[in-house]
Amino acid sequence: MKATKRRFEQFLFYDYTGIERHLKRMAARGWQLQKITRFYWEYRRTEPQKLTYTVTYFSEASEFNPYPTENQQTFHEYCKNAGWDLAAEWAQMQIFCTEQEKPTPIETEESVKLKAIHRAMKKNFLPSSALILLLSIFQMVFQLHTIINDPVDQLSNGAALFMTAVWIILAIQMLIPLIGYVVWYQKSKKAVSMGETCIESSSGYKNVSCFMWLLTAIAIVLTVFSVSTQHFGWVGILGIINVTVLIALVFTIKNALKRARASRRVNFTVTIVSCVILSFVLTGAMAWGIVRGVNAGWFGNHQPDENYTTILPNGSTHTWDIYNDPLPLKIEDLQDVDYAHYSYEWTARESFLLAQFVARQDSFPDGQNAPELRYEIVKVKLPVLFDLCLKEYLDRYNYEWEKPEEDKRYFQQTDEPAWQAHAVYQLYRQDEAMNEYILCWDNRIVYINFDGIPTTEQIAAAVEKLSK
Amino acid sequence: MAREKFQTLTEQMFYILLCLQSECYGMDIMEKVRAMTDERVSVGPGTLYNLLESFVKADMICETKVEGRRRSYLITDLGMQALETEYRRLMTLTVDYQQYVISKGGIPDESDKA
Repeated sequence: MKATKRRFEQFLFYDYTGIERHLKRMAARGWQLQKITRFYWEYRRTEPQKLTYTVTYFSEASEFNPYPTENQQTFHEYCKNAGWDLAAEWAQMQIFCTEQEKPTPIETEESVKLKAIHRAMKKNFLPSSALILLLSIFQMVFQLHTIINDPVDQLSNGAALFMTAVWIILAIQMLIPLIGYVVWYQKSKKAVSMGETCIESSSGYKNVSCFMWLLTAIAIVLTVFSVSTQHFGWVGILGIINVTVLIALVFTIKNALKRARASRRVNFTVTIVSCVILSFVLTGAMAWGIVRGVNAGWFGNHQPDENYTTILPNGSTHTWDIYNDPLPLKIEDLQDVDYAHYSYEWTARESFLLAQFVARQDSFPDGQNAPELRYEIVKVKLPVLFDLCLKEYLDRYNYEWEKPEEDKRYFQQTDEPAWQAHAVYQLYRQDEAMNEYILCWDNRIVYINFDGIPTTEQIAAAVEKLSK
Repeated sequence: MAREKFQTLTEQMFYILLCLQSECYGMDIMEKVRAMTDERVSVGPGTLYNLLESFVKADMICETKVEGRRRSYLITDLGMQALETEYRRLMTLTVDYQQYVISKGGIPDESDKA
């Protein structure tokens, strides 16, 4: 048998009843609590013993203190005098244990106990949970705002979806203990005022918390899955790694300062400052890495197959990226074309909510007057999102609202059965029809930028290639 | 406010104050109260620590000596007043008991009159 054991324990900070019961059971099985850290509880192997544990909260204690304070030591002395030894500490929580059969309880007056607990909670647990909750809600609202304004881009991007899910889960994880504590405190206050004991904390919250961890695991798995089908997911994974590294570094700094016996104020200040600095540094490093990666083609925008360099009249050079991706619809399908220099570029982004494909057939170099083609296909997997995505395309030229009426471009629904679509929208300027269309088929939205108003045969060719 | 908080003293508060009429180490209070009350009232170390802190803040006791971690306390005038107020309150209770308890020949309730 090993001499020490480490376990990840999922106790709410104020759940002293649950913790006492758990430690008593562990001691009866021969494991005594030795140390509590942020990530695990450490037990050491002993003879199975019948120990009684009491969990108290000392508001002056702090995880930034290098030593227990004078008052804290006095408190420990009082407890020792009554037969209670300090087993472990966790921020304001002080855990005592005793071998005595009928020990004097550490707390003999419920109103005093309740007041001490609440004072300790107000110092650390309540403000920090509330702060993280507010931050998460802010981020959630921000993400939702971004998604509504840019649905096709955001929802086809697995990373953005994952980050939204992460913020939601974090918010719930912060909310559960907060609500649990407030309910417990109110009920206990009432009980104590009537002369009873503080109520026991309910275990229901613990179950919900476990469920949230399960959801997080599922979200991670889904993201990894989407990463394997599409490169942008890596950004989400990098984000998680970024935050994990940040947390690990900050805790290392805090513990190092504690070991070096820095004062509480110094430790607290340095830890907070380094946290802020590190978060900027790491985010900056990540952004720089991503930009480099995108340019080097690691993240999905694939490398061009060849380059073509021209020399402009003023002497400078311009390089064109040439792609040779297979496209479902090409200019050659629409008309006879006699030009050899085309780039066929295909970009695909997909998540479990929708997929977006962007196709471009560009001619190079400039000024050759060869026909060009551009279109985008959006496959909406969740029907409710259809109208939101369609709106984004219809509003494409809304940025021209400041232009005079004759110059503004807008999409208008027309009735062209040749498209065999649920809805057809054509671009207009004033009352003149133009060469851009938006089509709606089943769960598909297609935007096409033709090289001139399409003929009936060209429409038929497009329908055949793009509507399925 | 601290004053309001100690309007009525609980048993443990009462005996701690009683104990501190003479200078006493914080640690010894637990033993003393047990002896005073013949094991009837016991003050836990956590409760003792918190109450001593509250009493000092309310100016009902004062810290007289600090020898490292051993601190002694002594009751103040304010504390004596609180004790006396509590005593009088308890006496009122006993007087009312003797006056109104029926089996001791006290005045019966109105509804008992035939």
